Amino acid sequence: MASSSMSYGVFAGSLFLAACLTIIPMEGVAAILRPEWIALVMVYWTLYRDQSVGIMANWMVGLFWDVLVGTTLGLHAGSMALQAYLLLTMSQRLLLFPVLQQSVIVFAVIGINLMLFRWIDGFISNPAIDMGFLIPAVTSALLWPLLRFTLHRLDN
Amino acid sequence: MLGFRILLVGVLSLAIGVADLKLDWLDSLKESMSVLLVPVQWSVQLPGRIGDFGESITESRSSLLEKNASLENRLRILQVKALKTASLTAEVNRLRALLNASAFVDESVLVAEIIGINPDPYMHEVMINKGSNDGVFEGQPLLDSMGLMGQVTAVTPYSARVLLIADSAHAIPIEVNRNGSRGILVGTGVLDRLELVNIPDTTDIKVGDMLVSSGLGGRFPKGYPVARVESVTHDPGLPFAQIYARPLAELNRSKHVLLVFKRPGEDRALPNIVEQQTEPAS
Repeated sequence: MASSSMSYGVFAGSLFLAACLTIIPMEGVAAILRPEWIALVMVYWTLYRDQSVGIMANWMVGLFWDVLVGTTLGLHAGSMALQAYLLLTMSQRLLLFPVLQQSVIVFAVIGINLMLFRWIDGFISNPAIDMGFLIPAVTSALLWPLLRFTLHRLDN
Repeated sequence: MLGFRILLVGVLSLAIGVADLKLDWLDSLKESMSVLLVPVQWSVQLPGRIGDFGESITESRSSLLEKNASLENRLRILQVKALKTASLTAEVNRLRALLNASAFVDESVLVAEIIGINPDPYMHEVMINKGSNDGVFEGQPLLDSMGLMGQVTAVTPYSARVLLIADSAHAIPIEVNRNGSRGILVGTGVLDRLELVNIPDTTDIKVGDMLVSSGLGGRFPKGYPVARVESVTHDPGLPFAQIYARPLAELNRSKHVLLVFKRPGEDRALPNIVEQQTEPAS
């Protein structure tokens, strides 16, 4: 699907932007709706550039994510690695899906990522009080078509 | 292959997590990683900075004059109050000397700016623009002009992370300003609500009471205002009174905050005070 070589500039740029959007201060509803930008961007790279971006790359990105938002080291890293694992096991099929069907999978995968994160984080500090922590997975899935389109354009 | 890798990475994450929680080996690694992330922090602040700059060059002369006048007025009022405070402090120290207690420590402060908040809506944490290069240390108390805000939990060379008193993981020892009853004020996870826990029904605490830090526990300096009691419920079915308070600090509004440093030579010994006491008294 993707052309010959991956554009590392676009890769780095998209991650930088995702990191900025992750920590930009927001209030009220916007903070609850905020998509999991880093996870979403990494879904794209893991699916379409699985030669260069695998579990290890996802793990490293997660590690930096941990440092960026100050969570216990390894939390985001572990859940990002799980996300990459899930994507890679079904990437052959996923690539052939229409974009909306991909969105559903993106919701599930990011949802699992969030659940693992919230579960372990619950042991350490803040147990979740409701299922509201899954809302970012919904907004991420809704943004997936737009993100895939944009990154496709830039990457190829 | 994939299965092996995810297993390896899982174990690695677990090990790193435990090491991070229980040991401090990884602090230098975290610090160098956070330096790599400074550009991200910086670009997130950029719009705000441009806005501030734009505001500062377009502000009109008349509004500046007005602002200046009101600030001067405020300064005058505060100076008068400070004069009074100085004499009161001296008096309190003399009295404490009579009671064989150590003197109040003079604290110095450093002004910092809030440059970010934790994006996780379940946590109440902010980032400030001062770090270990400015002498900020872990556990340092943070104030705004109204009251106590929280404490530093992680330090990098150029920034620090502050846990606010409203976070559900935070607790602070306080006393009631009116009568000195002690208690522990715990965050509830809601910004404008703190809970005073394990207070017997018979303790004299009323709505409107000011709660100040008690200095017990050694982390927060004594005597800074923390919260005002908002509701007291006595339910015969519960072992303790249910007391809620509202933080005095503007946890969601303050931009400029103060970091408190204890002066070197804290807890001045008694002889010093006695000397001090004799000077003005004679």
